[in-house]
Amino acid sequence: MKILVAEDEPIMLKTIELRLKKDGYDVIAVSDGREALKQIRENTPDLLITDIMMPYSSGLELVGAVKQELASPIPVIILSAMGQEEVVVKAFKLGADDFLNKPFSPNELSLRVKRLFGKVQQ
Amino acid sequence: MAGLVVLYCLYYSARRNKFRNQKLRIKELIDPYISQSILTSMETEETNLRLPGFEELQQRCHNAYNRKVIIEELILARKSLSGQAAETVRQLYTSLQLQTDSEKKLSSYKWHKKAKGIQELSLMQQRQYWKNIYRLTDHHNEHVRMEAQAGVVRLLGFIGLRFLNTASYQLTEWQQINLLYLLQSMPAADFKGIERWLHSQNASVVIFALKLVSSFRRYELHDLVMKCLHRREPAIRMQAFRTLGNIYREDTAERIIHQYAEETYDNKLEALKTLGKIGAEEVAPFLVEETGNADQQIRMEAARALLQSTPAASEVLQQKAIDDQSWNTILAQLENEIRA
Repeated sequence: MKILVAEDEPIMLKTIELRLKKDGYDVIAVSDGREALKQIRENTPDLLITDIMMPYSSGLELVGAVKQELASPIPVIILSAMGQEEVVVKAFKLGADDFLNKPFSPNELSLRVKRLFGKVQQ
Repeated sequence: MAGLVVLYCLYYSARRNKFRNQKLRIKELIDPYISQSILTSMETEETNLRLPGFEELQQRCHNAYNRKVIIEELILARKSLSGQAAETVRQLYTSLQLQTDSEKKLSSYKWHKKAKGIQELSLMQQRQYWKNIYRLTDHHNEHVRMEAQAGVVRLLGFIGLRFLNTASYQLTEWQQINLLYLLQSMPAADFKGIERWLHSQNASVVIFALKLVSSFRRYELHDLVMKCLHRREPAIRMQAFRTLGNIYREDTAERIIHQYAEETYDNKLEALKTLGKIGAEEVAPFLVEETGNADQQIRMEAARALLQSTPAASEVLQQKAIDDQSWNTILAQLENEIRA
């Protein structure tokens, strides 16, 4: 399973990447929206984990791209900060599947990823 | 003169590049170290770790600029992480003795450094500094004050709100939201002090206390909230109406109606919203009367509350639409709301 992680904070990006690799996933880690869009189009991942606020393209634009451009849309987990409730609602309306509020535990993210993949396989 | 300017520009540019490169080098060291520590701590359930590279980090910490960068990175990570991962970040901060840098910032005469120091110490749960931070909760600088108030709540939880006893400045709307958010993410507390704050002469403290009653559903304070409806500040009365919508009893609606005639226009609208939330059938006659009010907004709010209070409301409102065309717009909007 290939997971694309888009997060502009280097420590968070690295931590998520290491945590998911430990679970046995292939992880593509990118730090801005433009690179994430490129990866979505060229490297079609099985799951997208994205922060909302990022340089070049926001997490919302990525959700839109994943849900509209891909032949078979992949699941998306949104990472959001306090006070972004309205944006989270927008993301769900665009088709996001789950969200995690910062601060969060990498273990919780790992469990949510497993649960989403479980649902997809069902 | 021009030569001096050029020389200064060259010096400034070189200095900036030097710091930029130094920052990059230290980030290259600290970022993977933090990530690896978090991951290892989750595997081993040990948060006080010394991974290979720790000694080098300690060495680099002899330089003040490196310490500044490391603190920034740790704070950034701490803000995004919770649970054991957050504890690992905190342990790393203390094992590198970085709290002493944050403590120095507390005594800086520059407000932004002071505020930063408070944030660092409180995010990193350095409880031994709570008194130093508490002293700044009524500071004349708004940023320092707000950070200190949030800081004591981060460190002590609900007990930290003790600063409200003597708060002489108004709490901004944003600060109230921030404090409520911090409190909601903490374990349920011993809610002592709210009674006192409801009697405060500082209007923003009373409003915040009313929000606490509402958020934490302190039903036992119902009568004290009712008393706030007799305060002369309209903003306090408005918040009291809102709070009553969350802690109402059988007699709440009747007492709100009793107060209604004396209220300001905005508070009348708020009172109607609360009556709708309570949804007591006994208040239907009062609401029907208000649907005849000359003001369109009042009519609308009364109709909305009526729909929430009695199943017979639709029929009453449709009858009104037959007699008065302006009701068609109100009805259409309310039907849309119900559908949504």
